Amino acid sequence: MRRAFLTLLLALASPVLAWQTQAESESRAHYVIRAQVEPGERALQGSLTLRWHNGTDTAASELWFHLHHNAYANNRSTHLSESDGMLRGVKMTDGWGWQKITAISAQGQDLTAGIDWMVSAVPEGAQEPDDIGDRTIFRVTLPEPVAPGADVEVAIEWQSQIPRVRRRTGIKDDFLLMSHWFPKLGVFEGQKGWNCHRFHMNTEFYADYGTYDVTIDLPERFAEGPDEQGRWTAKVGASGAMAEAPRVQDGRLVVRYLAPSEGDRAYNDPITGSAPLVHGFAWTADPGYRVHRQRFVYADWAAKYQTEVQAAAIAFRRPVEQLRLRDVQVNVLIQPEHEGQWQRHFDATCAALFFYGLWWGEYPYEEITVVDPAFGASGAGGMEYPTLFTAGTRRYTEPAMHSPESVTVHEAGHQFWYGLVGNNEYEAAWLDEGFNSYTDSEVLWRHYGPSRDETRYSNLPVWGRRAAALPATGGSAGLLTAARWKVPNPFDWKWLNSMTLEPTDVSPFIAWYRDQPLLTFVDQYTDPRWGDRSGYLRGPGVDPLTTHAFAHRDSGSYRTNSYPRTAVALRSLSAVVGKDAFLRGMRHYADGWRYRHPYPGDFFQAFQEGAESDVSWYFDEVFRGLGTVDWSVTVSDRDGWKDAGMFPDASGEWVDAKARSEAEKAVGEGESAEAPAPAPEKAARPRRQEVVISRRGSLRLPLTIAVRYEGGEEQRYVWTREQQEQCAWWRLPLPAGETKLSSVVIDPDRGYYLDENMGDNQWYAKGSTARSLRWGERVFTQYSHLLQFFSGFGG
Amino acid sequence: MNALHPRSRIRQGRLFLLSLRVAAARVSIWAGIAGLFALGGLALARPWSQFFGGIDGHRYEAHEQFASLDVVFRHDQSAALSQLGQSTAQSAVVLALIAWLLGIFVAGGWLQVIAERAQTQVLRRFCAGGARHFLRFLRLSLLLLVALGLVRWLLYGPPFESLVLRKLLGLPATDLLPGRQMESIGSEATRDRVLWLRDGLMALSFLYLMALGYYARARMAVLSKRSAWAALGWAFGATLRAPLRTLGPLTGILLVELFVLTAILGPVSRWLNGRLAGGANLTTVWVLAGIGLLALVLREIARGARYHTALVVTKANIRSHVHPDPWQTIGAPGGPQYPVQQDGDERYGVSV
Repeated sequence: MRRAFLTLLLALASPVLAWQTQAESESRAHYVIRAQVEPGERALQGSLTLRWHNGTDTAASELWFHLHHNAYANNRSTHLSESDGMLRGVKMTDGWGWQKITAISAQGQDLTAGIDWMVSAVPEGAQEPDDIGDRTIFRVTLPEPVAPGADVEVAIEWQSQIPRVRRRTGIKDDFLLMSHWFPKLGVFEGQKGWNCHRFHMNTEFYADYGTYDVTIDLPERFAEGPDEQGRWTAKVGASGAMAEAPRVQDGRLVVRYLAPSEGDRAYNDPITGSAPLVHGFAWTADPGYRVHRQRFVYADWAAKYQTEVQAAAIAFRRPVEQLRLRDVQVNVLIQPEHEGQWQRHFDATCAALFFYGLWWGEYPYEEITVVDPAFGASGAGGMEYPTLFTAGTRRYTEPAMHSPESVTVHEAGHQFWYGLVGNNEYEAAWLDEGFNSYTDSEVLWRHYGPSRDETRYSNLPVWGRRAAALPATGGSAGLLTAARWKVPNPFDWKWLNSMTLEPTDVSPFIAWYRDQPLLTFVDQYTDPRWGDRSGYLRGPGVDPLTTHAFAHRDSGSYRTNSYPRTAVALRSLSAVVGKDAFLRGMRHYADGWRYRHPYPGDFFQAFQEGAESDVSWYFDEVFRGLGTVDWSVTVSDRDGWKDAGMFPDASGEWVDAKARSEAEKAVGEGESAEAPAPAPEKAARPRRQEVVISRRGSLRLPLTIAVRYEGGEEQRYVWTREQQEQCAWWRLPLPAGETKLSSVVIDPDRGYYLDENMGDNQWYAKGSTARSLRWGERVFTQYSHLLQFFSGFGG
Repeated sequence: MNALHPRSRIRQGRLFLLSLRVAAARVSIWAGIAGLFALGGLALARPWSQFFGGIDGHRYEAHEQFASLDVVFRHDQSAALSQLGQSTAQSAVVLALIAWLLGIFVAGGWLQVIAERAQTQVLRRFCAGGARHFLRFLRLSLLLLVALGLVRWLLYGPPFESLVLRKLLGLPATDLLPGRQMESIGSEATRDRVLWLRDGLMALSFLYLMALGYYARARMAVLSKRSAWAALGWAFGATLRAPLRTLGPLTGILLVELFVLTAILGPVSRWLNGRLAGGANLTTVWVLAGIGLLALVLREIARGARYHTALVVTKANIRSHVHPDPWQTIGAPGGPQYPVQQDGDERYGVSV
């Protein structure tokens, strides 16, 4: 019976699978999936057929699959144990989820009995694998190896208990975010074998490109309608696009999606010249969604950012017309209480489609879907899947807060870095997260400017921050300020346990009255590009960037390296090779590895080819190494020596400096008319100026120093890598002169973001007391009011 | 008008304005007290001023880091800023304690001066009042702090969680675990409303307990009583018996204070701060300091006004209950002596 069903499924799927039959040099995976979901029971029953094309030069005798939902089965899975049971700040105590393969067959044989639960196809760090707890990978041996260039068809049936969404995937009430929800093939890398990792805490993506035809069967409440024409609207979003109108029958809603969509399959990606592909499929449903659709129109954005388009055209040495991007329909699925923000989600998505597309190549799909997770399902937020991503917002936000703009641009950006350039995220997450962090900061800065900080009182925002912290509350300070009074419990009464009185830790509304933000706060802004630098400097020298994502010292090192450090390294690379060459190098890499699986070495090579620059030393020191740098400048600018002693005059006679000075003075006053003594030579008194540049750290970058003199003249010096190899400091060869220095600035164009401390990178002749008064005033105003407030507790 | 006179006829709706006027007239008092808080603020601001003076050693241009601190500066100076912040927070503990004690003293001073309607040697009388009532007000303040702590525990501790969140709203226990933010509640808006309810109740409780404090102190001063418990109990009763009469004027004063702070001085200050982004302007900094001081003075006047209100209402309330006025019915020798004057000369008032 089971075999008959699988055979039928394969027969039904064959027309869809047949659309792409040409021989390919890359492996491809084409799925046809059908799933029935009962949200109330958190149950999913699915079946799929997979046609896999072996694009390598090696025969494959096994197939390796991911079963990612098993990561949420228990607290001993790799995913849970690596995160110490905490998923996005929440302890996983309930809502466990799992997957079970009920049938698998290939090449006409039932392979169900031969399922091997595996630890990993490749070495994964030092952590001892738990083959009981982690069931996120399995393997089956094929009756016949799949020869190079050949295809194999596999049919699978499975059941799932959908996990309560805590991170990435799952369900919360009627909100579903279904990613990693079906048995998914790993990546066969030819001679290297299968690359199929456990579902780690931080990394999750690596799959062959292909196509998806997915039918989802849900309860009718996920549909709205019918309207006057009898049409139903499905409160569902998914990768690709809906292939046919949703059907509602017998209390069930059935929707079918194709990814890429039918339109996409008939579209030629201008970069590859072939139809676009995807390497995953995710879907979401929520009866509460408000659905908004609007088009991203390239021409509108190009008109708004003409300078950027021109700059890109110059960098890529292409006419502006060749940079034109495909218009895209943006679907925003948003929660009712955030509906007022749908336009902001749309705008941020468009910003990403425009700038990423301009720099890294067109988004080749006709639709993109933005998802706003339900309240209590924030664990599903901030995630990226092919042509669909989740953002995440809250009430009471403004665009200047960059929320949800920041997360929206970032996740939309993943359509390019990991979506179109499909690096192995398990091993080199920085190739997508870091490249994306670099780009999202550039986009945010260009489109939104700096983010503005707010302080929240009972979730209501007020612009600005306190200039100084509130009085301390820990230990004896808490006792003295009545912020923490631990109630003694000599008789160990249960209800008194941990009872603490906090009289002056007042309600947020009273805290607002206490703070008087309008009077006492200061504005605080953050340039996202420089914000990346702050992130990088949280742990600059822990692991090389190229460390496998799951092998970092800790999750802090993973985050630093995979996100801001890569962004900072790329931004500084732009200063090394020049902005145009940088864009060319990156674009060359993005174009060459579209729909393919690059590794770090591929990036290093492609970038240098595109940039036409040998910067292998930079990749060695910054990406493969732990190079850090901290430059500083010290300046001394004093009057010239006041002459003392004997100096030769014009005739070569030694003259006392004092006498010469008096003679100079006499000449100046016109007393020499009757005293025709030889006119003393006017002594030049060059200023005693010294500028010394120092470097700490092993990283040597060609460094520009700008020296400005009073009057505005500027002199630039370059401290080369070769010079730096000789010595860690450099005294600038300043010309002798009598003009005072006005300023000395290291890296005046602010191209390097790697410097660990930029507070000593510049020197200005003119000081200022105004800053001291300004910040003194802010603290004074804040604290005089704070003390007045505290006096109110007395009377 | 002598509002303190038992037979004075103050229109209820105007009492808070009269109180503000009376308190504002006590220039030496509010100026002195505000000056003390300003001194405290200066003491805490001095290290910050020195820090920014120190890093100004030619490392930044004059306009840099003036209106706000950029992210590069915040990171590069993070260790120093953090240390500065911590030392300020520690020093502030001592000053907050002193401010609390000063508040106790100030309460007695305000009550003494207002009750006596002193025109001469005001500061001396103020200090005498502060010293006279200090210990009993200290006890009262401790009592109020405990009450505040208990209310806070009720609203933010296990009682609110078990009664309101668990039983009334039916949230599961797991919803109250760290990070879960009442996630079963259905929507962010509902969650916000629950939080606002709790925060609002706490804010109202805070204001109410502060109001009780004013009335309790006024009663202790008028009757020269020492029991903080009794005074607080009486104040509680009085606010229950006549909530509008007791709490109305205090609310009026609070609204005036909030209006001036948030609708006038605050926006002006915010506007001036915004102007600093255009360049280092020292004049603007001085104006900002001036506005801060003005606001401080206003809050001190508001405190004085609250004591005036409390005294007026208390006297009116306790007269009928505690001290029946014999002259009211039988008349004084030579006929009724008061009200002395209905239109404002207070020199003939009766001292407490």
